Amino acid sequence: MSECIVITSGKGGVGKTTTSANLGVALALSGYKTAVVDADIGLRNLDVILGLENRIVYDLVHVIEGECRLRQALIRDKRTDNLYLLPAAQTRDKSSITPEQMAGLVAQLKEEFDYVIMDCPAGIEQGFRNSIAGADKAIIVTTPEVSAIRDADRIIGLVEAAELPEPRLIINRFRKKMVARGDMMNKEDILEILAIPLIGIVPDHEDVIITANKGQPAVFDEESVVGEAYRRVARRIIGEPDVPYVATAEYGFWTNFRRWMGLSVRGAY
Amino acid sequence: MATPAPAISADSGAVAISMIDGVLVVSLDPSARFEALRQCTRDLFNQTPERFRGYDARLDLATRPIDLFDLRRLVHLLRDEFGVTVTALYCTQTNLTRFAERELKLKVYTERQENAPKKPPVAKVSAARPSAARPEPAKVLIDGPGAQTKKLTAPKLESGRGAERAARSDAPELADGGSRLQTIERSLRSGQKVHFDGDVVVFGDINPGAEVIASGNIMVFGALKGLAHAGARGDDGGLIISFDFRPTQLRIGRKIALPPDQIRRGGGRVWSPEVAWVQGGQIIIEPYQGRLPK
Repeated sequence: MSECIVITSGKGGVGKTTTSANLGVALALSGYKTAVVDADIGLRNLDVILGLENRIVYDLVHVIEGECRLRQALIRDKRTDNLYLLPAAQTRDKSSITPEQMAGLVAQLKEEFDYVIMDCPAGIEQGFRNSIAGADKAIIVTTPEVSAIRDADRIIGLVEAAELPEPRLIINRFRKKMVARGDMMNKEDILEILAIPLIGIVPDHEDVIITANKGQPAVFDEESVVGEAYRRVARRIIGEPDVPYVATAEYGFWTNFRRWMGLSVRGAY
Repeated sequence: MATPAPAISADSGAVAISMIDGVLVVSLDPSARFEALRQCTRDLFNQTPERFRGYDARLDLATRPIDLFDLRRLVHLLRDEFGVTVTALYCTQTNLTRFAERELKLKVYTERQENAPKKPPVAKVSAARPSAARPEPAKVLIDGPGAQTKKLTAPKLESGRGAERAARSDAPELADGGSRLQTIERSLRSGQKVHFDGDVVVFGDINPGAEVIASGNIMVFGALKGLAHAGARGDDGGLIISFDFRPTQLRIGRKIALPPDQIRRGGGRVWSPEVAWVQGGQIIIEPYQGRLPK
């Protein structure tokens, strides 16, 4: 039973593309055939984050306009067996395709893939409308700060109006220390405003920048906390019950010691 | 009980004034030219210039085609020169209806209601029945000779789904005017809006970025964090009640209030009911003690 999950947020820069890339990899590593689609036409980034930008020949607009077949545009990620990327066009813009065309494309993808992850662009206009056109479910990404929450609220309203089932929330760039000091909203505050179920908390970490620059999503790294957080989200998506949240565990003494020593730390947020 | 009208104007009945059940009605002849009408109105009122000062009046246009601009001039004439405030119109033209309601803030009736009682301001009536989530059918208020007893039913309550689409209720016009109620059974998210002619009850939150604009009162059985505008037709008598009062902005009638600087943003839910109303020319917020403020 295939499904298309759209990763959206409203606000830009909160981690949609990072989330799409990492979730795609995590699902692929779990054995599901996964396609990640970059819907941000004109400002494509998903290929960069996945490290596949040098291999792009055809893109999603070519497929929709009939210049090539879908199979030709999909780029297989060589690091894993099950992951394919459908990149966006860089020389076009979001008015190049319509929601109906995108829905048709997603239907084609769902015939071949178990999961289709749609990386939605920021905003509420054509790009957003295109992305939700073929989606079965939505995941909203937000950071724990006022403006992102405001935009997430708006987007949730639009997703509900589009009659998608209740979206799930990922809180990104979570900083446990700031929350403890009261400088950052905690999980309960955010859920009180947004009122949708939580599916993941991803801590703020340098790894995100480092892995983006290398084109190697954090999920590939066993030691990375961010990778572990995304792996747990993938487990929840698949349906595994009671997966603990990464950012809510307490630091133990030895974990702090190891961090102080500069040793690697495993899933200890 | 109609008092006989004062003397008709010189232009053989272009304008007529009558008092019907305590309501001042100014009838305009359908065929006269507008300039003539203005002059007649002026002449007529000038016969007893102070008599109607402070009264509310209704203009009876019937099927007369009147220009929007001219209508406004007439309304201003009555207000500025004779202190007569036009509050309602009888007319059948639809474009005029919309204009009058929006720009001049007038109530529009499509049929002449000879026996309608003096219509009290919308918000005050609703305030007399606090938090009427399910108002009982209004008691028959029409009395007097020739009264038509209309069958009164409670207004149809719309369910929350599609708050964006529903702006007007299907409620039949009730004789006491103004107990139309829109119930929203969920929270309003940022960007969603409800515009309603009547009272609005929200069983949920109003998130920042959402707005509720009502001609009557607004009651939020949850947290008010967005924009609420009560008495949107210019009526300062509107009330806003909420269990957790931290709006981005508050408006009642034509007054605007900003929340105090130290208002709590974020943080958990707090249940302390407060009511906002206009007193002494400005909006004040005070704890709701179980009764409406005087």
